[in-house]
Amino acid sequence: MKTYLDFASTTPMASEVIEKMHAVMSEASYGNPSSLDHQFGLSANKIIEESRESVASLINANPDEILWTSGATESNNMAIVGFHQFQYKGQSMRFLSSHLEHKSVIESMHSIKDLGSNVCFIQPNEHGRIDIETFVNQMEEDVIYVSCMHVNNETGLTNDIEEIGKYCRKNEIIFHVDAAQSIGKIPIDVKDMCIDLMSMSAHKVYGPKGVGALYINKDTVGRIKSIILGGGQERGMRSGTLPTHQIAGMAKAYDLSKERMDDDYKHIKQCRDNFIKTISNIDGWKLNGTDKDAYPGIISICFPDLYSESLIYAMEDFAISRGSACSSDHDEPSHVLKSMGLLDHEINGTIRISFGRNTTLNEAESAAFELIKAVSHLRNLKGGN
Amino acid sequence: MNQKEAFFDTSHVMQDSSMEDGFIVEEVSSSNGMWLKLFSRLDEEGKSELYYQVHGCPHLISITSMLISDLQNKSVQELETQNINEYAEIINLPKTKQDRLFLLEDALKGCIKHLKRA
Repeated sequence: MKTYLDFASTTPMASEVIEKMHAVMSEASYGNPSSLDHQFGLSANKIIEESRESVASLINANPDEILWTSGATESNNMAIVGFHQFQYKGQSMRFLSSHLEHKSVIESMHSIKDLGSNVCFIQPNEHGRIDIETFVNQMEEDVIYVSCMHVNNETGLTNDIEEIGKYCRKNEIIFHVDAAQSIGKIPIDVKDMCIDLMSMSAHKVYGPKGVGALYINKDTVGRIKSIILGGGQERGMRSGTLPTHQIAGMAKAYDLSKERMDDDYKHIKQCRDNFIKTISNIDGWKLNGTDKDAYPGIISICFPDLYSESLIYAMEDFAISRGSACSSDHDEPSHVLKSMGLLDHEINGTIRISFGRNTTLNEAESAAFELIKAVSHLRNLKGGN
Repeated sequence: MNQKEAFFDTSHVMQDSSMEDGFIVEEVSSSNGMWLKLFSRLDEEGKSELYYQVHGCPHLISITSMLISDLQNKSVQELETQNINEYAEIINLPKTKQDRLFLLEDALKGCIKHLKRA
C-alpha cells in the first residue's frame, strides 16, 4: 500500500463527509432543489441553503454571496469570463494577473483577450511570491481587475492577498482570488482581505470532487454573466440542477476544516519540519521558494542533477508528484517554476510532496528516508557524479 | 528481469572511476538532458564486458539495465544482432518515449564500432 503524499492534487474524503453524503442520498431529499412546489424539492433546497451558510461562515461572507459551481476551475472561468461579459460594453478593459496562476485563470485571461480586452501578467519576486511591493511595481495604469491566487499549488508559497486586496479596494480595482489551495487550510476573511470574487473547491479539503463555489461580493460586484446557459438557477448566474449530496459534502468538509484548521496546520507544519530536517542530511537540493511565507503542506524540492520522474519511480512506496497534477501528464515544463527563474534541468529535477490531515509524522519521516535512498541510487547510476 | 528490477539493478553500473581503465567509453546524450555512457572491452577470447552510467527517465534506466545485462560475454557479431526493440515491448515503452531507444541504439552502435577497431 502506497503512502499518499499528494494532498495538493486532491485529498481523500473525510469519513464524516462520506457519512453526510450517504445520509443526504438516502433521505427523501432527492428532489430537485429548484422544485419548491413539493416537500422533496423543499427538503433538498433546505440542505442547499444550510450548506451555503456553512461555506459563507468559513470566509465571513453572506450566504447570498455564495454561488455553487462544479469546482475551482469553473469558478475561475466564471469570475473572469463571467465578470468580463457582464461588464463589457464594447470598450477594451485592462485585466492583470500573474505567471503563477493556475491554467484555468491563465486560459480564462487569454479568452477575454480574444474578446477584445487587454491582459498583462506580472512576475513573482525572486522567491516565487507576489508581495505588495512586487505587485505595485508591476501595476499598470487603467487596470480594472486583478486576479491573484492565494497559495500556489506547486510551491505552497502564499501571496500577500490582504495587502493586494487593500490596494485594489483603495484604487477601485476588482480583486479576484483563486483560493483552491488555501480554503479551509489557512484563515480567510473576505471582508478584511477586501476580496471581491473568490474561487473555492471542495476536494482539496477532504470534500467531494465535482463541486465548488464562487464568492461574489454583493456590494462591489453584485452580478456576473452566466457562462452556462439553461434554467437560470443560482439567481440566473449559473444554470444547472444543483447536486444536493455534493454540496452537502462540501459544506461538511468546510465545517470540519473550520473546526480543525489550527490543529491541522500545526500537525502539517510538524510533518514538513521533520521531513526537511531529515533530508538536510543529503546535499545538492534546494527548496523552490522559501520556508517563510509558504503553506507548510506543500514542498517543492529541486535536485538539479536528477530526473524527477526517476526519483518518483524510485520512491515506489510513496505517491508524490512531479509538478502540479493538472499539468504533470504532459511534458511541458511547469510555467510556475519557469516564472520563478528555474532552468529546464532544475524544473526536470523538481518533485512536489504535499502533506495532509491524514499524514502521520512517521510517514513524513519515512518519505524523507526513502527520498535519500532514491537520490543515492540515481546518483550511483550516474557514476556518483 | 522486469522493469522495476532492472531499474534497481546496479550490477553493471560503472560506479568506480578507478575501474574505467582499459574500457572504451561511448557517450550519447539527448536534447532533453538525458545521457548514457557505455564502457566496453573484449577479453582474450573476444567476449564482451560492458558497464554503463545513465541519467534520465525510469524507462531509459530500465532498458539500459536490461540490455547491458544481456550483452555480457558476447562476441562482437552477437552484439551487432541484438534487437533493442524487444526491450520496448517488455517494459511497454510509451510511444512518446521511443527516442530512448534511439539513444540506446546510438550508444551501442558507437560501442561496437570501437570494439571492432580495438
